[in-house]
Amino acid sequence: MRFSLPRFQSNTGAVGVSFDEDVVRLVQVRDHGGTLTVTGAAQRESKAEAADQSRLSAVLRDAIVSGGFVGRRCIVSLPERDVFLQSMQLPAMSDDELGEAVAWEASQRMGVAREDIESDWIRTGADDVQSSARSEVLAIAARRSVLSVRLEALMSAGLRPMAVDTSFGGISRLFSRHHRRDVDQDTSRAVLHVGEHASTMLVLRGETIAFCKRIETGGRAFDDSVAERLCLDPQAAGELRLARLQQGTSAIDPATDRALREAIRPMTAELAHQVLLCLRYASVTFRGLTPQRLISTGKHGHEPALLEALEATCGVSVHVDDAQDSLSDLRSGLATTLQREPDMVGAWAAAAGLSLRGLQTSKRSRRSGARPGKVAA
Amino acid sequence: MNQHPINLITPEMVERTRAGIRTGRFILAAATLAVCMVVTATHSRIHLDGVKERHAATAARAELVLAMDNSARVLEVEHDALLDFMDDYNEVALPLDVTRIIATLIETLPDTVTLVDFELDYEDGRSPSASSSRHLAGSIAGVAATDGDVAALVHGLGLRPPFEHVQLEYSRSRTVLQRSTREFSVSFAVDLEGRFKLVDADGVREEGY
Repeated sequence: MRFSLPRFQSNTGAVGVSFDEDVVRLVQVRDHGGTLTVTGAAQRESKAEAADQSRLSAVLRDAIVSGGFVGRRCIVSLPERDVFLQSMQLPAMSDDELGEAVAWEASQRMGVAREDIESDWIRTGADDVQSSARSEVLAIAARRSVLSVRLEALMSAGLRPMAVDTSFGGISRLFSRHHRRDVDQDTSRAVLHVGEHASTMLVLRGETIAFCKRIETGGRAFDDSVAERLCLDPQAAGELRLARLQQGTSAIDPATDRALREAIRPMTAELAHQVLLCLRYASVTFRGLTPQRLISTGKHGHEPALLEALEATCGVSVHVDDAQDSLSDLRSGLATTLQREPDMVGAWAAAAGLSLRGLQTSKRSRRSGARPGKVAA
Repeated sequence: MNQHPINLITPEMVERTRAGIRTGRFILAAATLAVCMVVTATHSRIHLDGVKERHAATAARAELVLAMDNSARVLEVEHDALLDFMDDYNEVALPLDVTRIIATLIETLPDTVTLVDFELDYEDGRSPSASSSRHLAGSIAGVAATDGDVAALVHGLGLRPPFEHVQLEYSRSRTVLQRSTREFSVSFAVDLEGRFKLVDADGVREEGY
């Protein structure tokens, strides 16, 4: 049993640790009257160290020391390719039965033994149009071995993992900060998080995730396309393309920009089409759920060619930030903490949302009592 | 619809984290306890030092008070002894100098009066001729030129304290050296318990019984 006085509750979240394919980002945010400020932040390359626990621990320890974080609690998310994500139609059942059913389904689809995975689920609220006895469930799972390496590394580095969340969970939390009231439950936003190897399409209704789908097109596909069309090394193509997106850099040659846009047009068009299908699915499933804005975020989410394609294809106003300028606050906070402009602020969205988890959980538990589950504290 | 936050953490990690939290709380509690003990010990030491200082000061003052009390007791004993002595003295000693009484008497005598007898006795007891129990009973006898001189003597003595109850015992004719004179006797009393202001012969004022 815990006793706490609201006046003395900390506004500083846990350390959000977002493992990506080749980089790990740590950020700790503070919710100060609805405005995000950054308490600590660090980013380290972790491609080579991903499989080696001791080297990964050393990298994390270095990041923690230089990051200026407060406290040891952390919320973790795994790289997208390490997380199994699947939408399922399952019969209506209790939460405990649903947990077991999802675990067995996930283990079968992943081809891994049941005891070698950790799974969780969320109800999207979409019922089967043919049979109301079935409901849509989003199953999330990860291998214990993958979890173990990163969690042990974090423990060795001095952090105390409180929960393992997902990138899209953090992103939805970041963009739902101002949509937690009952009257906001009918408002809808679509979020496209464009990662390195894949993208995640989210449709948020209020503060809940109504739809989530992984699209196997990411920034790496853009870079490969540029490299192929312009006969460049993929890494150089990526650096050239991302240089256009960074603030403060000198304007790029219009001819080069045009060539880059042309080079990735097939990819962006395909991705925009996938997004359109997702929006249609959500609209049909939830009977008229039409997002009022589409937020394109992630490391590659600010790609101008992608924004144009989305605008043209989906017929929804496309933005790179939410209406409350959450990413703008995050950018200024990161610039202050890191002593430099962050390269791609959208890449920090997941980590910031993870950091917010501790805050929102404590506030919600103060309001209505905590849900029993696997939360460590 | 409320969605719970996703959590893929392993049960082992949950247990380790909880154990870590418990250990951390134990260490925090131990550290807090140690700090409290140090603070309490320091406060006690400071308080003890203060109490010792106050005790030393109080002991010094108490010794002074005891010494003064002893002195007061000695003085009280001396005072009582003096009072006893004064009582004894007042009971035994004559508060008035007889010489002064005689001097006052001589001053009162008219020029034509000659004393031939003078008696002064101490009497301790109520007497009709005296106003107090302790008094001197005196009598003088002599010759005077006239009765007026005798009367002047009696009147003069009656006006001058400490003489009181001045009475003429007798006055009769007597021939001395072929001259007619008046032989007289006067009695008087001197109160020894009253307070009088004596005027010295040379003008020095003194307080006395």
